[in-house]
Amino acid sequence: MNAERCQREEELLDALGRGYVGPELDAHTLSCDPCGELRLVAGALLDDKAHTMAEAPVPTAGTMWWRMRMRHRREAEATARRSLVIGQAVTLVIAIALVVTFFGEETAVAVRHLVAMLRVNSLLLYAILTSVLLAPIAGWVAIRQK
Amino acid sequence: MIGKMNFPLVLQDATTYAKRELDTALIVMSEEEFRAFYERTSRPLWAYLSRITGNTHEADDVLQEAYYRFYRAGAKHADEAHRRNSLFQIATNIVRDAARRAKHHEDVPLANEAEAGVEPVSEMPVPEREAAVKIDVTRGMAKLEPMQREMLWLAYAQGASHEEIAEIMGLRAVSIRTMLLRARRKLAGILTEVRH
Repeated sequence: MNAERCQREEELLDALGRGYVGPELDAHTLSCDPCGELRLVAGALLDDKAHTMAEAPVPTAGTMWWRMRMRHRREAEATARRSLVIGQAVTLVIAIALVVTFFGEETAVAVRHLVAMLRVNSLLLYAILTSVLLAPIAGWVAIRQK
Repeated sequence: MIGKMNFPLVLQDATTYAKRELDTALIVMSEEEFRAFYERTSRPLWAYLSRITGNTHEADDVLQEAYYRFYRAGAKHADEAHRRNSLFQIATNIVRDAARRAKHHEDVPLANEAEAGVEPVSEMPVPEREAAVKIDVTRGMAKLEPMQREMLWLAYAQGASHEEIAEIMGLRAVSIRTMLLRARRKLAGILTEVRH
């Protein structure tokens, strides 16, 4: 089919949209390739749209509104929770940094002295250090849960 | 383990924050406004989605996601047409993103009824004829490129202007005319072939 543009395409589209193509325009579409092509395609799509819309299994507006509100609330809560956890983590890091700044040297000497006294192997030392570091975090989580 | 823990203090703060966020979103679109907008647009949008994806279940999912993103964006629109175009644009982008991830967009499965053989349309009574039109379009659309499906549906089923199609599809308006003509020619060829 030769599909050059025709001046009457807009008119035909309007007619198809209204659901009625007059006899004169109808006769035109039989002799005009672009309009015939447009009628075939647009007509089929408009018919299909009408059937598909009638059968569309969309939720009711109320259901959709409720689902959106619930989801929006859940996401907002998650965002807020994330922000608070980040803020608390930053506070903890600053606190540790302050402790290290003011008491770092003394602490390091004390730890070295303790290690020398205990004469433990490095694996056990790492285990003890890990426990010492994790204990305050575990305590913090436990307090939060209560 | 951590995911299952409860943080009552944190949750209390988060809920307050969430309510504030929700109130802010409601200012942009009230429930009544949304309901009215949804009633006007949900069925046309579902029809568009079911035809461009070729999958009714995907259309269901994208419909919900599109309305949610539209609502969450909280954008103010100059008029109803702009608001509707914005919704269709969001839905189109969701479909494209999903297709990019799944990489199955090119091979849209045909509906079961479309696979079945059909007699010539002109010889059928009206209900069968209507069903045949649906099958023709389903089969024809499945043979088109995704962008051609979007464009044809928007232009002829939705009645969107070239500018509106460009806005929804993220293309330049000047290129729509040629692309639309090419897509139309292709679908016309397929429909003619199917019906004869």
